[in-house]
Amino acid sequence: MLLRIVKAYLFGGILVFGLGACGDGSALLKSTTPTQSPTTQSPKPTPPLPTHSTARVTSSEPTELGYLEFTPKPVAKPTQSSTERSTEIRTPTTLPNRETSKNPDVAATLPPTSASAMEQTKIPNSAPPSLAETGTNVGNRIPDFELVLLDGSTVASGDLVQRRKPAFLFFHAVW
Amino acid sequence: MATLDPRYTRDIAFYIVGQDPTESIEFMEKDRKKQGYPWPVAKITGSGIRDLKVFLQSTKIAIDGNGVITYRDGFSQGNLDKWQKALEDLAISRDR
Repeated sequence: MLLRIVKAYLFGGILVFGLGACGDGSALLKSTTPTQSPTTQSPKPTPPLPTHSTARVTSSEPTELGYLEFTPKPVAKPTQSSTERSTEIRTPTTLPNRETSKNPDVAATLPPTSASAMEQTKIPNSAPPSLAETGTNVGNRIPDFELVLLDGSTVASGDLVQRRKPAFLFFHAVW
Repeated sequence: MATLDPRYTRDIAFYIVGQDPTESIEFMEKDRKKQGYPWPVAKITGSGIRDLKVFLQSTKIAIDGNGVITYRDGFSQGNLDKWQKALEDLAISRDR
């Protein structure tokens, strides 16, 4: 009779200890067939298992119902690799551009460093023609001109602007 | 200039513009073949040379899709890296 009381006490203690180690109680408590005869040895206190561990841990202490198995919940792995994250950090212009593409109002709420990074990535002198002053320096709207090609066809600067076609003029003389 | 990446020719209108009014466009075409330039030759009409203030030999002017000058240099002022960068900026501005 006394032996039964002791066994019941030990089993209850192990069960309570196992639930405490699981934390939220979602872990699996599973019993298996015992391979050893039950013993009256009290369970050794073990430190709580780390929650990030994915290893399957089995108690070395046999119980009446078998071995106590503890399987912690697997921790979800990050979907983005460390390489991608480090790339984003190295290129600060990527994040603001992506944010502003989703919501244009985000640009106003970005910190000053992000706004300055966006400003730096702007192609200089790409302002609309109406805002640029006509001239011959960088940043000016180029004065109207017309080219005659070898086949007699002509290309006007206005045509290039109308087609939004960039141009590179290489002025050359044979002499 | 002939070593510039030819892939930009697809996105950018590249012209060799005659700077000497006494040279005919046919003469320029012969020289283009001799130099190995892959781009078409052209003559600028009227007072274009004066209007664009092309006073230096081998002046190069890059214009974006809005007609705004994004790069300009003259003889011995640029180099292959600068021209390549100017062309890349032009190609990017076209993609926007």
